[in-house]
Amino acid sequence: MYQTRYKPIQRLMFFWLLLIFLLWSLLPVFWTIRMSIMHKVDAFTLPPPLVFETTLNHYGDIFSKTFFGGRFFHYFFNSTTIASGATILSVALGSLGGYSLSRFKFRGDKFLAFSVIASRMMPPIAFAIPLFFLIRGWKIYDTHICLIVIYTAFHAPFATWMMKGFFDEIPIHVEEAAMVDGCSRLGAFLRTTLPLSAPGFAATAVYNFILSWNEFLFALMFTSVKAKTLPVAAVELIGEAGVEWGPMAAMGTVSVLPAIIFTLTSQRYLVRGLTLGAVKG
Amino acid sequence: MVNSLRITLTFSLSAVLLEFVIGLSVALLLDRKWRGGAAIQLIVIIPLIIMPIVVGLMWRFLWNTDWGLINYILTWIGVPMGKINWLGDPTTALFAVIVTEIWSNTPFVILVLFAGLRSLPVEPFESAMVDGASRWQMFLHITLPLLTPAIAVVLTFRTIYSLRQFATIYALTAGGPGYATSVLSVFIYHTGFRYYQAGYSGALSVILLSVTVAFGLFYFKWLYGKIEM
Repeated sequence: MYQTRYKPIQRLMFFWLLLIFLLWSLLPVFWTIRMSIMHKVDAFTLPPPLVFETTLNHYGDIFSKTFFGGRFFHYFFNSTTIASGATILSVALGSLGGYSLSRFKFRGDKFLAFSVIASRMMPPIAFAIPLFFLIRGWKIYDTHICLIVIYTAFHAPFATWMMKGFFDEIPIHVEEAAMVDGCSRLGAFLRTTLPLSAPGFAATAVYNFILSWNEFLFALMFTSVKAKTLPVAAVELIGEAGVEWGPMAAMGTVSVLPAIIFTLTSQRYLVRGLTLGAVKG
Repeated sequence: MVNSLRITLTFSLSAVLLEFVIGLSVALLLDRKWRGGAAIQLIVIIPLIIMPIVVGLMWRFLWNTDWGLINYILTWIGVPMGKINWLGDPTTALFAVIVTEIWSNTPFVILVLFAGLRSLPVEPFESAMVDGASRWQMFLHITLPLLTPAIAVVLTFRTIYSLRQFATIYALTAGGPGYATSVLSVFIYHTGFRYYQAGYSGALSVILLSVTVAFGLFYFKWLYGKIEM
């Protein structure tokens, strides 16, 4: 980062530009949270009232039998199970794969690394039809396993790539020292490299969890009741007569919370992991 | 089909272009000392981690004709357009969808470009300073070329991911009104899972796949060509 000097007036302009951008980023989110604690009448009033009566009715509605047939917590549980399962699997695969790509030189290693990123190019919707027939054939339609397997398949390459980046930053000598002291290759990996890359590992897990937690397309196509996740449940709020705005805002707020909490826990490494490819080329 | 392909390309290319311009500007703004850097970063990330389907629904409220914030703000700052039915009018629906896409994905561009800016070496700038280069010249001839890897990453992933965008569009307009916002992914979903034309839908999938791979290869070539220099 190279800093040049700017006049105070220019710095003030930068400040305002940044502020405008931050407002633009936050306003829709703020508006939704605000709507979730308002009575319907107030939410639709323009100009927006500064003082209004707060209510938790919308939260009560989505948790009780008024919406989703009282199955909100069932869907929440589904989302949690599926996202956790897929995260555990893809991080396990990703850390082993990432380690291999980072440490071993073998014929075709470049091509393998390339194909790992290239597989991220594939648009999920293009696989929807063939997957649908496979899933029906295997009789796993509307099960947790079905989504866990699909999410792992689509997210493990990214985990691999992210973990490779984190492993690349850990000097190989640490492992070699452990191996001299009598560790096996796997032992050295588990005892030295993996603990050293723990923050990166956590960030990869968080990112994978958020990806699976937010995934909509496959969940929409391959679940109906038993394994339905929150994003698909949100669609139920779009009715014939329009959207149920209050409950939608409440549901949006609740469903975004886990993602925000997880991000807060590993923000620094998450950002590093997402941008590794860019910095190192 | 051709229509849907045209909509997809309009949607992706204009969204990515604007995301890039906004993202680069904000990354440059952030690339100086600000108090509360971590908090700013968190605010910047938030749109990125919100469920796409919720993003779509959130914005569906903002775009609303009668009680949406956007029409209100436009009237308030004095744009004499009256009440626009953003999502219901075929001429404005695609624009609204693109703006929503920009809102939710510019953070990725900012993060990557910002990290790229942070990792730039100081020396070229110092010597340019000594040689009396203007800020604009330094930006054009030093910052941009050195930032190429980050720019390539951003453009590659944003293009690929915007080509497959489904959830926000589904929540905003479900492809309508008519076919005004039916990008390929929405169109594939409709033909395959609403009208049960598996064959047609499969053929469309192949087209989407080819378009994505074509863009991907183009960027890859560009990216690796630059790095080996």
